Amino acid sequence: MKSSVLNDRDFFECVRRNESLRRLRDSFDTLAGNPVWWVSFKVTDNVHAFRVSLESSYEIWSDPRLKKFRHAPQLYAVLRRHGKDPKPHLFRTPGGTLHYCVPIRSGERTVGFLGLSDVRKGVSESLLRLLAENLGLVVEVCAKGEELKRLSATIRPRAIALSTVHTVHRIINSTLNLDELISRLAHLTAQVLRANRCSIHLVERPHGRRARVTLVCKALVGFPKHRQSNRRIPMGAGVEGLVAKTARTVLRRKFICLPLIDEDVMGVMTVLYKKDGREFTHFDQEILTTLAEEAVIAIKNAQLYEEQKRVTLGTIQSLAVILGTRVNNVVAPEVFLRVALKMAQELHLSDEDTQALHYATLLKDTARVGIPDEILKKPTRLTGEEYQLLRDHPIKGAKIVQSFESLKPVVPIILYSREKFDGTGYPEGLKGEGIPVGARILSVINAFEAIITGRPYRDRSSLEDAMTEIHKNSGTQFDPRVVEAFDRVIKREGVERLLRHGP
Amino acid sequence: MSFFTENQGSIDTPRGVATWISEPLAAVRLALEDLVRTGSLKAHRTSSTVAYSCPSDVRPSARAPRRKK
Repeated sequence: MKSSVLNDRDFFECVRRNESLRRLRDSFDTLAGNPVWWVSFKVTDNVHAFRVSLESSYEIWSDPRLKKFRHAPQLYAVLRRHGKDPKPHLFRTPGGTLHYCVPIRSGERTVGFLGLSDVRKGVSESLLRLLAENLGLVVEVCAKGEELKRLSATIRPRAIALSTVHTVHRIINSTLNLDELISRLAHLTAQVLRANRCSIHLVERPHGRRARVTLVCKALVGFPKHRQSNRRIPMGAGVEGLVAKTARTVLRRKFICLPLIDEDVMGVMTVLYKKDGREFTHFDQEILTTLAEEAVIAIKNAQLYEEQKRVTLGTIQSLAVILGTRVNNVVAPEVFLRVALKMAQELHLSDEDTQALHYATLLKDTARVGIPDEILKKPTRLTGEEYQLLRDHPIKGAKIVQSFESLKPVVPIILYSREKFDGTGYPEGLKGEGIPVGARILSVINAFEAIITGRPYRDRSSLEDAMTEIHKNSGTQFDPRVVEAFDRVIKREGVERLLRHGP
Repeated sequence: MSFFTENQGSIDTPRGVATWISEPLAAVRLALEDLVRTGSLKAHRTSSTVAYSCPSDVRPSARAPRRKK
């Protein structure tokens, strides 16, 4: 096998240090008449170097005869003459000493020699051929080993880089929050490319004929604090603008700027200044391109998800407005929504739970569509049958909402919003922490809204009365922890002003 | 740790690291968490996996080398 990486000296040293070469002597020494075993690097003009090379054979076989080896000049002369001959040869030096010399070959070149001096007279040629073949095997094993090392040195970093890209793909795809995704992507890209700085800009195409397409900075890693995100770059301006306009990667010594391409350019990603001060290479560009391809899919997914969320929220808001027209809203429903969301924040609800509460607050009265106007607006006390119809209202509301897949988390909040903390509520008589936290918040909001806006059969009350009523029922109807949060929100958020003037 | 020192840009899962260094997965997992506790490595936790990397030590105020005029 041809060793394409190592130079002759390295390859010779590789053979010289091979354990099999040491063991070769054990197999052939007695049969060859206990000769002196030596190895030498290929012969050059320097006889001294040849002598040193011969003496280094002592490290392999520890033969003391090598220390006062007297055939070096003669061997040197012979090898000078036959140095390029690829075949082994048996020869005598003046004095009749028999030598056998096998070239160590790397591909088409002789890189050194294995020799036996003072070979027993009458040694069979087949034995010497066998020795040469064995040496050939040792050399081949060395060449294969080196080739494997070379392949490993080439492939391993690429395989590790590929594995890294795959891991980054998993990390960035674990969120659908676009801001979080872009921030993660920028940090991870800087990490993978060992860059001091990374920025990600996304293309913004505003509606309107005269509106200009711009690049908006979405993430900055490692930049000075005064460099603001949300900075806008016109298409074609600066490196980022140019890359976005031409959809071509720019690789320079100190930075790489690369377009994020879906069907069209959706943004640009830039890495600047390697941590070790070196220049960016084509290998870095290759890695960044792969990362960008993964990133485009993740960004697109997150954008679609946000779009879907906006559509869902828009639909829900429209529905809430339609429902709101059926009753006289003396206070804007947004006030109660704001209080609910602030309570969620106060109680450290997750983003998902907060979003579900948001939707539930807007949809809590969905079942009103099935209640006749004369009941909704009845100014006197309700009959038992009419009251039952209103009592079923959360169950019906939950049924309507549950048919929407994206509103599944909203269902338990609406369904259990009439449960009481002490377990005396309906529809299932759930108690304490058994009631979903969103439903416990909505329960307080429902009561607050009913007291503040009044009912056709009951006058509206003041904020103080509402607070007194809710406090009175803390621990029985309402979760005390939720009431405390409600209390804090009302005192802090200027709800009284909102109730008077609207949001 | 030497894997991350040799491959400073690498971000990998315990399974990945175990493959590269030919060590048992369980031992690698424990060692990686130990290194995170000592601050030698950074963990990137998601709902489905944990990945590890060298701390990025990117300082927002770090000044990049000025270009030569």
